[in-house]
Amino acid sequence: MKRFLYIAAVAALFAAPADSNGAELAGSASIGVGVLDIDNESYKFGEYTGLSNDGAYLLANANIGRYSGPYYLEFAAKDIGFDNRELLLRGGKFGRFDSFISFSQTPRLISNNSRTIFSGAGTTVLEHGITPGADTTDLDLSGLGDVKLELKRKKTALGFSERLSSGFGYTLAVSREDKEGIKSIGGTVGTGFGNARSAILPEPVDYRVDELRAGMDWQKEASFLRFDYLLSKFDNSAETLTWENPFTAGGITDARISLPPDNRHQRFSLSGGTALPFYSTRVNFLAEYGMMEQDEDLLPFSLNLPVNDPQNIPPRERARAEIRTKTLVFNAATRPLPRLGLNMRYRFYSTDNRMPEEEFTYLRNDTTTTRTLDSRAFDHTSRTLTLDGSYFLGGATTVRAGYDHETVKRSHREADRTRENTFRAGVQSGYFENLSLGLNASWAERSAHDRNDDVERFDIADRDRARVVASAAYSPAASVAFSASYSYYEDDFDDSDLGLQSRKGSSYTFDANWTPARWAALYGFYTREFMDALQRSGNSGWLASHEDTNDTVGAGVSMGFLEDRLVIKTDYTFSESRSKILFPAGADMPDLKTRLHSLALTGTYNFARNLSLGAGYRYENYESDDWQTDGLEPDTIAHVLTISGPVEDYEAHQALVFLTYRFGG
Amino acid sequence: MLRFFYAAFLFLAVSPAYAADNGGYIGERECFACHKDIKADYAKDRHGRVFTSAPNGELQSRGCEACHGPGAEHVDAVDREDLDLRIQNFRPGKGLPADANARCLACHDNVERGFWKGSRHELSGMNCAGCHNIHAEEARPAMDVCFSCHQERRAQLQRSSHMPLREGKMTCSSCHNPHGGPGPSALKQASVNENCYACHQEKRGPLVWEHPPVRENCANCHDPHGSNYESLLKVKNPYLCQTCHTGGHASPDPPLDAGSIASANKRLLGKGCLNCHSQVHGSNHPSGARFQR
Repeated sequence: MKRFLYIAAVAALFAAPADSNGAELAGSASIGVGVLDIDNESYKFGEYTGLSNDGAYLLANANIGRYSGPYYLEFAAKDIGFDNRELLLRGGKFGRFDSFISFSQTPRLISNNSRTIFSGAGTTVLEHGITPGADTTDLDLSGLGDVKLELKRKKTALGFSERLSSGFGYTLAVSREDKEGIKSIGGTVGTGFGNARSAILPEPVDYRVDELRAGMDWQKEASFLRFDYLLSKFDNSAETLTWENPFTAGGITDARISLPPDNRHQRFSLSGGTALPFYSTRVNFLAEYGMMEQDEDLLPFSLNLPVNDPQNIPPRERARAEIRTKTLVFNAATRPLPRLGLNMRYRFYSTDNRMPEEEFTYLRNDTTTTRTLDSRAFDHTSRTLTLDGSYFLGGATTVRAGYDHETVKRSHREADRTRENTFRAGVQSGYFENLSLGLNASWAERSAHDRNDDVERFDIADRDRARVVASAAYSPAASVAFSASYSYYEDDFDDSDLGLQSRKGSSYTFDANWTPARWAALYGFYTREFMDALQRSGNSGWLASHEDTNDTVGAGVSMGFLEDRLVIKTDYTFSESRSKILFPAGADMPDLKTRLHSLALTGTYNFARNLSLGAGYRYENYESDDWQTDGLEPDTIAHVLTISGPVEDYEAHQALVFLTYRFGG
Repeated sequence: MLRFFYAAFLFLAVSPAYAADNGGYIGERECFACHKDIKADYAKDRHGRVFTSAPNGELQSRGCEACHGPGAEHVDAVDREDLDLRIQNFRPGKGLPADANARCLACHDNVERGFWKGSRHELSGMNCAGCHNIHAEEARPAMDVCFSCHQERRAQLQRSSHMPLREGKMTCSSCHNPHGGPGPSALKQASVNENCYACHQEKRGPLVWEHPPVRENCANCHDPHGSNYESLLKVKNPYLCQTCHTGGHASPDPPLDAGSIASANKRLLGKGCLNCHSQVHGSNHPSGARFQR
């Protein structure tokens, strides 16, 4: 696909001389070389770019368009030398039809310091050649093998849309995305009776998603009606993972875990809107009906019982899992006075879970039936009414106020219903010369009704919520701008005896921009964020406090010399986070820290009419302290055979040179 | 020479009348006579290309005046050196935002912007031109536009656990429709979860054993804008799990504090609760009631 796109793009763009028939080429293309030097070769550096090794790599980017009257053909290529490359070829006639074909790749590097005793990583059967032991300390781990945990998505899409002169239009797009690689998952054996042991397994990922999107619409002046259809099909080629148990507890030799099953989602959407002939009124609606289905064969309860053992046979052969979703959104906006805007919105969203609710054996230790558990078809239905009003006072000042009422009904939860009322108000003003101000605040109260249980889960517990956001921007001269913003939020679960008690946070930011001359621009910003959460838990009701502080600083300069033929830019960002977990009646945890310095410096020199030479340097330094993984060896935890070490600190230097050709003037 | 004076007289006499008859429209050539700096940009921006080569209807064929309105009064105002230049220049803070936005909506009031009116951005008095640089050949980087107001999000993206926005694989508009959407927080899909399922289809299920807060709202546990904790979690696992699961495994159940690091507690280190309960998003295994299979 990549090769096809390259060839098609180049052939199409250069099939005819640019200046024939009035056609015009515009845009630019760059090619160059980069060199990376990274210590530790940490996967964190190239988490989403795929760059993890020292060495040289290709740099290539392009954004080229060929225009001939109403016709256009555009080609974009991004990060061609990296694993996160993108290609897009688009062509059509303005306002009439459009077609595209694209390719996009996204890596996700997770860990390159993982080690496992299992062979067969990446497949659905894992085996080891060691003698099982009671705990990890009893295992002979001298034969640990390296395994790289990384994923890669590759997506190809193509589509076509046409607008007919009668006001009708249609769109059709299809895509295929493959996601492959290895991540990790906990595999447990011996559940119950104190036998639980876990091995963190290399989990194979071999997903394919095929999607079709089709739409038809009619639009004329300020009215439209549109129908959309989505079909999304998820296929997993590795739906189970079987592993050889390295532990003796429970006497289990092999175990099997389920991985995401194939599923299918279809959604039908009808939307429309029109302007009514009074008070600049507009009404819109959206109605959707969705079907999420999953009907894979159910596995036997255990690998450690005969397949035909009655207690090993699930209550039904297939999952028969199905959720229907319904959405209705209606919006009416009106302006009865030129300065007064009013809006009413009603939103209904419900899930209708049609999966059979049945009694399942709860097989402890993979062999023993001690009880049964019912599978539940959880549903929820939310209804939200939103009323908003805004008034333009003049002097570039707008005040607004709003109210939401939301009711959520849930099945099989600790409370059948929650109700939440939200009140909000705000003002945005540019009244003062060169100064704009904004203040928005909201307060909400949620209450749970028809309780079935005293347990207070934070997602449905009584809650008071407050939000405040304030901002100011001052520009004393055309070349200078300052801004500051502050935000505060608080969720208070006063009535909850256990669980989350409160969560609050604040942040403030200062920004400054200065353009002392046409050829120079500078900026800087600083943001500090706090988060404070309190929870009470455990049978003893212990209390824990979480305190996060994040500082982020950024600064940059852009300067042009020699009538902008030489442009130099630099950007620097520093981010530091510190997380404290404190126990008033226990030993506080060590601080969790991350620090990231990032510096980018680029210079381009336009040495010929359409040619420029560029060079750049990028520096990153990352450090983290995390007691959960720092120093963790596969046998550190007696009952868990782990796989990954910590996220590695790194220091990376990148240098690059590139040549850019600019098409057209 | 006499002919030239006749022609000049006729032009001067007729042109104001022509402009008046023509609804005050004067044509692009007149605009570019003064606004020479815009001409080159206009030739390359999308509006210029469409209005010039493939106008959809009479309005678009007006060129500059399709958006800025008839220019005759503007020319007069300039000649008179009036302070009010009598033209729609889309500068924020001048006039009613809704009036300026109505010019854009004359063409763009369609499906993608169906929920613009009444959206939080519209009700805040935002002007289309506050985000869109109409005459630029290349659009401003999408996230820079958002960060000019949502500054705390810019800082959040720097956190260790983040989606690939910094790396350019996503933008804010991958999830949000800044013009208003059917879901909460202007999400493009009707619910938070349907938004997440657009990329994480494997989480969609449905599954035999569901974890209800997961099915209802991914944001109960994850902060999609960036987090200090793995997998964009709001609080570090296992404490996140314990904000709901308060019962503990044993009685008494002491806190997982620093002493638990020294004792290498299996519920704390490594993947925490997920060492065993690895299927927190739900399980399709008949033995998966406790999310271990």
